[in-house]
Amino acid sequence: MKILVTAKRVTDPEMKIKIKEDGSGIEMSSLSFKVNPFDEIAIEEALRIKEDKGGEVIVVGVGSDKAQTEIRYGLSMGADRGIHVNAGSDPDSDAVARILAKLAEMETPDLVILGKQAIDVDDNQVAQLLAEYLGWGQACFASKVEISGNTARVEREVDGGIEVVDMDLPGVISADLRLNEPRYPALPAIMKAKKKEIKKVTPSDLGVDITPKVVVTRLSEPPRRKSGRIVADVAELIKALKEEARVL
Amino acid sequence: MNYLDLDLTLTEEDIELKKAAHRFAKEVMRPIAKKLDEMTPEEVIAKDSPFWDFMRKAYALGYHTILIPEPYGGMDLTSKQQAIIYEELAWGSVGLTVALGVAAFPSFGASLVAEEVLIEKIIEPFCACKDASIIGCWGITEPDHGSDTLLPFHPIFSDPNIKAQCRAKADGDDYVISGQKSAWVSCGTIATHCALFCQMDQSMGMAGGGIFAIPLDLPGVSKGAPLNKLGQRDLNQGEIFFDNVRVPKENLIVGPEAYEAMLDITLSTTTAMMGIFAAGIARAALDETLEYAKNRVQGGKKLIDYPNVQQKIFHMFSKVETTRLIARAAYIYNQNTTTPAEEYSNVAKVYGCQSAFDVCNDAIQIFGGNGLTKEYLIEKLFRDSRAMLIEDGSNDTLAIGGGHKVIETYPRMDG
Repeated sequence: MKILVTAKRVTDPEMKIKIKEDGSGIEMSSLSFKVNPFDEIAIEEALRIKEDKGGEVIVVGVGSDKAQTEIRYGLSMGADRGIHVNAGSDPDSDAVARILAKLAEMETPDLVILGKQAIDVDDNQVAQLLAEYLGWGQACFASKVEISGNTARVEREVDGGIEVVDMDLPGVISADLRLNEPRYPALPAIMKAKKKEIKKVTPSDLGVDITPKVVVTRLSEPPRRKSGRIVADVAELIKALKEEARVL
Repeated sequence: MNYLDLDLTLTEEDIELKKAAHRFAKEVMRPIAKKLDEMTPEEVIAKDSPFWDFMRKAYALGYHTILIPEPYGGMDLTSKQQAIIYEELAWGSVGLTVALGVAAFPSFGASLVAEEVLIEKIIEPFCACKDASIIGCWGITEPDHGSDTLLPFHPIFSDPNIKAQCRAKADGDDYVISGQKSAWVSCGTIATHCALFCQMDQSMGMAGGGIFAIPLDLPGVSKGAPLNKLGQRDLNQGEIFFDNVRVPKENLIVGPEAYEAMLDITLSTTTAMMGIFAAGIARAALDETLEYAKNRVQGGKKLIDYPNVQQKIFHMFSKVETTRLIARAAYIYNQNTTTPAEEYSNVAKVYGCQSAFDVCNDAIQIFGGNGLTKEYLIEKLFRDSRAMLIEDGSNDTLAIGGGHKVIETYPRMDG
């Protein structure tokens, strides 16, 4: 089975993020980066399928030229080769979906697995858009995947519980938290990863226009949580709930 | 936390190895080490102990083969990469890192001389082991001979009146080993194999030793109870007894004719490694201190706003950085020369371990009362670091040996 996975470079979720004074973005200095945790789960699932059925796992990273580091991490987990789409910076979800669609046309994988969302922008759109652009089925928020023949049986975590779907392959799956626990890269695998190929392309090589359809105009911190206060009586409570908290 | 490496030649691979080791140290080692620290020595090695989860995970990821060259089943890590990885593991927990280090000792010792039969019997099975079912240990010190077993080329080392407690006698095609090794043998009570350093020729004193790589399931081998101690409680330690244990000649790595030189080479590695571990634990203490001091408010100000705290942190930082630099430099140099300059590794160990203890001690002072409680990591780091002033050669004795080396060899020639 040929499986395409993504490895997005995101800020380390344990770091404190500071928003720039003018709200145009976040302070980038002294930040550390890692693979999007949901993509790590996707890569792990792809590796398990490959270990069971044979085949090839290709890690795709779309972003700046630093995105290569995260692709290399996927290779050190055990993926076979990588594709680095250098777009200068992170394109919006729609552009990423169109880039991945182009790569899927070129590589003809049996399955594409992505993290359900990136923990920096939390869009939760790429997998869905990608499936539409390819005209493939989609099984998002996967907590279990079983492949038999040309069908993927996927358990999806939805609001009401677990939904089980059978999806024809090729198809798109997005990985949710409980799908698996990703392996740590073994030391010998990290050493081997440097010999694996990472093909470098740009969006224009792929004929994809990455002009943003979505533009972030401003970032601001949520209002600071204020401390509670004791009210004199029920009347004052109801007044505060109506006029200040606006929940009544 | 990460640290700035002053080495401008670091490769992408070096950085990836550092990140991977750090993540393993933080997510796997730290929680397990904390649990083990609060268990009895018997509980630490019991079948269901998290110690075995750690060992199995470490073996599965190849962390037990860091010291073994690639042709025998290890990895092609550069000395710098080994140093980088070991510092991260020690940042996680020194006790568990020592366990992994000694587990590789029989294979490491055998790889220095690389006889076919030992590659096949000892090194390859160890490297291929993915479930921690093969664990080595280093049997060198004895109840009556602690640091005085660690002074190659010092005059007292050749004193024939100093009699070892564990001796090997030639008997036909075998050697027969009798005696005991001390309760300080790391992984002593759980090891399946031993790198045994014992006396063979009494007329040569301690210098008349030999190095064996032996399985511990031979008739006549027995073990003591696991040792209960102040710190590094996650590290199993205990005595090994030899009662006329018959060992084939092929298990002898080196005899008295080259023992002193081999011990010198071995110690040049191990004392430098202790310096690397010291950098790791000192850095761990500094990380904890910065986190605490940036948040703790006293007298209306954060601790970091007080000049005396700023100065203390500066001196702690200085110790972490200087320890790393000397330990790494000594380790890399001595791993890549045929005649090691042991006194440099001794500096890494003596200076480094003293510095690490001072950093941990100063850290507790900054934490104040909170530093004395088990709710914070720092008191474990303090206890773990105290052992290092004695472990792998007490600082006092290594300073004698090191001083002797300096007097005899300084200045060594370059190239």
